[in-house]
Amino acid sequence: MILEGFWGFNPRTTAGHSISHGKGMSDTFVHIIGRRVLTRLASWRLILHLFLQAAGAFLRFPLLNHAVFRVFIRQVYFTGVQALPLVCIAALVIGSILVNYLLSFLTSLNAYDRVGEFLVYVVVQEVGPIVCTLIILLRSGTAVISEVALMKISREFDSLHFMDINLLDYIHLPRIAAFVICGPCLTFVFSAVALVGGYLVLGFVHNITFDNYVYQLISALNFSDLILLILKPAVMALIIVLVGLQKGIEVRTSITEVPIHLIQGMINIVILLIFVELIFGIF
Amino acid sequence: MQVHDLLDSNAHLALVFSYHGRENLLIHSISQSQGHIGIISDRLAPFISNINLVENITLPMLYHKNISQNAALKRMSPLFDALDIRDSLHERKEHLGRKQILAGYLLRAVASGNRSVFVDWPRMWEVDFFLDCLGRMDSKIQLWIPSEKESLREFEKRGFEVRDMHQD
Repeated sequence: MILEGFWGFNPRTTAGHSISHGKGMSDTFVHIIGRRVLTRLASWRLILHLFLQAAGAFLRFPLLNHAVFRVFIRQVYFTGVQALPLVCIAALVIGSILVNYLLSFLTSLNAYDRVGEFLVYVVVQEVGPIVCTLIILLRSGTAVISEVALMKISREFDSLHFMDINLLDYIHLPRIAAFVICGPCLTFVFSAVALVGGYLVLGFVHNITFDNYVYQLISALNFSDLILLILKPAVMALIIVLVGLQKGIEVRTSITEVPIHLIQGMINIVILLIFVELIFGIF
Repeated sequence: MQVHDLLDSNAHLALVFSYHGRENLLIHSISQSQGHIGIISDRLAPFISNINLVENITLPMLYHKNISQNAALKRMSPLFDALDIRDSLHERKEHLGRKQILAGYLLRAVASGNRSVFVDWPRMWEVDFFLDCLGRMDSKIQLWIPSEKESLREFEKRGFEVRDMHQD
C-alpha cells in the first residue's frame, strides 16, 4: 500500500495488466506514443493557429495603436538595435575570413571575375541569414519564451484581460512584427559589413583594388538575391517568434516549467530552421 | 445577487461572503465586463512587470483611447500630485513600496474609466488608504470590498453599504 502511487507504481495495474498480459503492455506503449504524438501535433497546431490569427489581426493595423506601438518599438530596440554590435563584430570576423579565403582561392584558380558571384552567394544567401537568425534566437528568442512564460505564471495576462486589452494585439503582434522586420535588417547589415569590412580587414592584401571589388559585388547582385535577403531571414525570424510565443503560452502554473519549455522551444526552432534552410536550398 | 444590482448603488459596498473564495463567481462576472469594472488585486491583476509604474497606469488609456503617452500623462498629472507618487512613476513594481503600488492600482482604475472597483480582500489600513486617496483625488469611484460577517462593523463605521452575497 505504501508503494501504491509512489513514482507511479501501482501493483494492481502494473503487475496485473502489463506483466501477465502482453496485450496490456502494448496498449500502454501505444498510449504513450499516441499521447506524445497528439501533444506534439497540438503544439504545431497552436503555432499555426497563432500565425493565422496574427496574419488576420495585421489587417486591423493594430500597430497604429499607441500602446501596441510602444511595445513594438521596445521589441525592435531589444531585437534589432541591441543586437547590432554583436552582428557587426560577427560580420567583420566571418567576413574577413570568407573574403580572404575566397579571394585567395579564386585568384589562384584564375577565376578572378567570379569573386563577386561567390561572395554574394556565400555571404548574402547562406552565412548572413543563418548567423543573424542564430543571434536573434540566442538573444531574443530565449527572451520571448521566458518573458511570456513568466507573464503567464504571474497572471499578468489576467491583468490585461481585466483591462480588456487583447493579448494578440498587445503581446503577440508587436513581437512578431519586430522579429520579422529585424531579421532582414540585421542580415542586410551583416552582409554589408561582412563584404565591405571583410575586404578592408584582409582583402587588400590580394591583387584586387577596392573599386574593382565593389564593382564585382554590385554586378553579381541581382533581384533574386535581394528577395532572398528579405524573405529567408524574415521566415526564420517568424519561426523563432511563433515557436517562442507558443512555448511561453504553453507554460501553466509552475516556474519550474520555464527552463523545460525554453529547451523544448530551442530544439523545435533549430529543427524548423534546418527544414527552412533545406527548402530554400532546394528552391 | 448579480453585478448589475451592485452597480445601482452610489456608495462604497461591503460585500459579505461566508468565506474566502466565495467571491470567485463575482470576479468571473467582473472579468466579463470588458474592463468596465476595475479590479485591485496582486493575485488576480498585478502590474505588468516589464514596464514601469506610469506605463502600467496609463496603459488602458493608451490602448482604448489611442492617445499618446504624453497626452495621457498630461491628463493624469494632477492625480499624480494628489497622491504624491510623482517620484516613483518611473520605477518598476519591484522597487515600489506597498502604498505606491496601491495608489498605482487606483490610478490605473481611474485611467480605465472605471466607476466601480473591486478590491480583493484588503487589510483595513489599505481600505483607509484607498478612501483617503479617493478623497484627495475628489473621485466618485465606488469601492466593492469583500468582507466576512465579523468585519462588517468596521466597514459600517466607514460608511459602507452592506450587501449580502449569499442571496443568489
